[in-house]
Amino acid sequence: MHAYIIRRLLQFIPTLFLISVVSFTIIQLPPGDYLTTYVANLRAAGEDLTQEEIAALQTYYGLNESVYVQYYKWITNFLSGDMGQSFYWQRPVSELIGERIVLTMVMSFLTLIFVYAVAIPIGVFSAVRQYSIPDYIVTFLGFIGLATPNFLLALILMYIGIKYFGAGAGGLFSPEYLDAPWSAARVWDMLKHMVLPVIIVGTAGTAGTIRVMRATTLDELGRPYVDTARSKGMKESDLILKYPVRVALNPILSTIGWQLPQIVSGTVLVALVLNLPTTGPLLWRALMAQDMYLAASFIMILSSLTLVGTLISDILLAWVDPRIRYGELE
Amino acid sequence: MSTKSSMDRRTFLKMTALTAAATLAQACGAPTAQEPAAAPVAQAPTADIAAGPPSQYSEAPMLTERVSAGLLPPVEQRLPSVPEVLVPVEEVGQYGGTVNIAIGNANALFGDPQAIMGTELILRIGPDFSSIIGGLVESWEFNADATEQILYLRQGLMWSDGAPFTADAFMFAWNDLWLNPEYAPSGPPSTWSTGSGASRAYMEVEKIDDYTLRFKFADPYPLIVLQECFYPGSQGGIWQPNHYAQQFHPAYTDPDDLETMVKDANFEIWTQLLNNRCRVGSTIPAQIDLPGMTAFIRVSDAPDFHTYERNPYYWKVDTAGNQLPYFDKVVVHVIADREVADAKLIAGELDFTGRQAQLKNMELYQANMDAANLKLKMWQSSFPGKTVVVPNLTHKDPQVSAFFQNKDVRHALSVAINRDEINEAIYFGLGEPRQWAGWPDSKYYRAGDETNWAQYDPDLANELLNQAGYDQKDSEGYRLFPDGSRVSWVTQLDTEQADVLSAMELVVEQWRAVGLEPNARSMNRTLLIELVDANDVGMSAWEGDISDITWVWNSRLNHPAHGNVRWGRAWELWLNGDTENELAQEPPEEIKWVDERWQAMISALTDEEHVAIARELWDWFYDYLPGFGTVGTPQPILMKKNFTNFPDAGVWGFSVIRAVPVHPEQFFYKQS
Repeated sequence: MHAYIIRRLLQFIPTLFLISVVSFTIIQLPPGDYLTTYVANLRAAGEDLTQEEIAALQTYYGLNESVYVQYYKWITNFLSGDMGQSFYWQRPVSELIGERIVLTMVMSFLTLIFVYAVAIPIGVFSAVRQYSIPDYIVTFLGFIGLATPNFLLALILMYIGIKYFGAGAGGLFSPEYLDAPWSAARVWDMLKHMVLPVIIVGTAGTAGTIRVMRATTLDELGRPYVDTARSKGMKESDLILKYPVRVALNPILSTIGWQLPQIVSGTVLVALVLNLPTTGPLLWRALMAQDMYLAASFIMILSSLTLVGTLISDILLAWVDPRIRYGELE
Repeated sequence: MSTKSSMDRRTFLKMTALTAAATLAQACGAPTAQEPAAAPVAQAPTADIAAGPPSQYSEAPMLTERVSAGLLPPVEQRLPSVPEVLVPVEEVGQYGGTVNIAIGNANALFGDPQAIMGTELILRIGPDFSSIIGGLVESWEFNADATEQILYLRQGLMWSDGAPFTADAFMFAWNDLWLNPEYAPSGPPSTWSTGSGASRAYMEVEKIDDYTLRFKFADPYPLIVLQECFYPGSQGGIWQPNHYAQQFHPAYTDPDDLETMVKDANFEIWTQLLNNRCRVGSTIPAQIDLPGMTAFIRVSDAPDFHTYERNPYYWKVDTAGNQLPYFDKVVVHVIADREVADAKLIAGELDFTGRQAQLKNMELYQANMDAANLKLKMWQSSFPGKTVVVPNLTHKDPQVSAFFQNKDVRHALSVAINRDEINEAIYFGLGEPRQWAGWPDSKYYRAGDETNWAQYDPDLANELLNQAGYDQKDSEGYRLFPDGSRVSWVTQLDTEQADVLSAMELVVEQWRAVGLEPNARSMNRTLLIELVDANDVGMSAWEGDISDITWVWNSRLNHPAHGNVRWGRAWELWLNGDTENELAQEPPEEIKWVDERWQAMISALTDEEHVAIARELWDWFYDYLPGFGTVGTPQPILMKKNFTNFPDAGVWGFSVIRAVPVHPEQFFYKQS
């Protein structure tokens, strides 16, 4: 087991290196660079820069060096923790990401819990009461959640909230708590505002999970050991929870690792629409403005987390499922 | 067989759950990354200002509290001995209140922040949105040939931290920053120079005394006043809080200390640190702890909103001696999505919206105005032509170029546009169909300007096109070029300007009805600008934003080199002296004349001469008609019902800095 983990960790290094090269290249692909976008927007606002000023800015931003030099500078700094400067914000990247990361993680974590807390019981229920009316209703709702674009759902729910419940429009705090220091009331206000984003992002996630749970539980329910347990007189609810559900959780666990990057990036579109101060909109704006270092650093972080998450998934799976553990020893 | 030396499943799950809960609790308990800064502790003013008669001035209750707590000196000492007195638009106001407004992205404070917080510049645009009056500079004078300007600063002004505002602010910005090769490798901005290319000469700045400055130019520059009342005249340009910025400058600080400061802030050189700490956004000081001269000072930051509080040393009072501004706080929300901003507005969470308000949402506003407690004021916009159509007269295809360069063709194109249809379809009939011209209150306007070639007359258009030699048509009725191909060109448009796209869609249809075949293509703005620069654009369109302040520098349509999309790119290169460029073409005599007269207009020493030459150029424009205006639009502005002292009429737009000319510092909430 330990050898396996160490081997996987070593595999990270070439993978991350490749990812850094690819993400850096892709960001350079659109025509122009941060400066051309910046100049275009300046001009649109009526100001302009002379050729000398543009040349000076190019040197200042390091944009007139070759891609290889830029990449080398960035990766060496990255490894020592300096993720470079954001052109657009004129602040260090680490500061920008740092000030949003806690809120993003809290929100994504709550979404994760919401998804699993809702999807797993419903999936099991769906499987046990297959083809009943509740099953159909739940499946229908799940698919609607999956099919509707998240941002549209966000706008609709927000409008309903404003029109009929007098709720606020987007943001994470009510006006009176915006500047206030942290207190229990402020946390409660924030949680109240988080309900909408969590539900919206969660709905799309639940649909998939419900279907998976349903399918795998159905698989297990047909197995001989379930009949055996029934014939032995075990209570139905105990029976279901103790055996088939545990096995059915396998696929869920194997994908849990992919939630890790999701936790850090939040969801971009919904955060944009609902105006949440999370890292998703930060990445979006960086890509739109071709803010090289912010975008590339962000993608590196997300990729590293994906790799770590996958590893955690694999370890969890091996640990939870004896079959995999024993399989290794043979 | 595995040995169970590790913990069992139950314990693992319990530990995970506890860790998660602990992290959550900790995250909620941890302070946010940037705590709101404590109110700036003001230093006692260094200048000795004799205390005036007691209780002559009043101040806001929130400041009185700080005075009693010993954090601020009394109001008489915070105001200059002769503060500027503003006459409120309607009535003397009441202190208090917070204004919630929205902007689209955190870096750009243009739009509503300018309209609510106002800004302080060297000079000001007057409340008529056209004339120039004093700002931080009380008065100025030129020498006989306008090569020297003397500026007399208002006396006794103080920065928002109490330090005196003197000519040193200018000297520092000019000598220590703009003339410093590390800070400005390519020199100061071209605004402060005359001549171009090899003959460019920057001004000389001389301090006559603490409150007097002299700017010396190599050539006459009477229109520098148009720059001084606009963006170039703001903080961060040629004046900075020298007493604050010096701590970040190597000539005034210990180099090692500075080095440490730079490294601690994660920057590489001192210019980055200085620019960050002295950051100004759209003329408004936008950094915490940065002293400013504006009515509001930034006190806190968060990723999605900023807070501004009143400046305790603001140097204006109203007619009853109350220190301005009336509002206590302004909260600027960063909302990327316009739909969300609209949602917030109708939910009553925003108190004012100008820039985000669009004519196409009028129905939404009307339906929700009462519920959200808002009222509407219709101002003029700085778009006397919201969409201006710009053909490329120097098109690379000689047939298209010959087509556009034919005057009859251009007249025909203009009268073939059904401006009423555009007005009804896009602006609900609220705009004004008109040709490109200033608004009636512009000093360049003459009655009848906007009617030139603005009528909808497809018969006349057909006649003119026939007359121009494009009378051959194919079987489907499309006109033909001399070589037999259809008269056709591509129109490249910016995807970000939604109503320009809609307007051009209609125009293309209207031109097809007279036998032409234009094709519209929308693209990313950066790409469009690149195409414009490379003269690869067939025709384009843009928002036509002008005012008496900006028309001279960027008329959008009257000069081949003006505007984001231009009608004479090849000629522009030649006129700029770039004759070796393969794209450059020598312009016809007529165009050379335009450029010469334009320079003469800029150097004209009296306003009468200036306007006379401008009229020559406008009259030429209505005959030559290089491009066309379509519809001039008003600007809806929404605000809470008790928002007072906001005039009923005005001009809103970038080129007049929104509501700054009508003194936002005297707006207030009326508590009845």
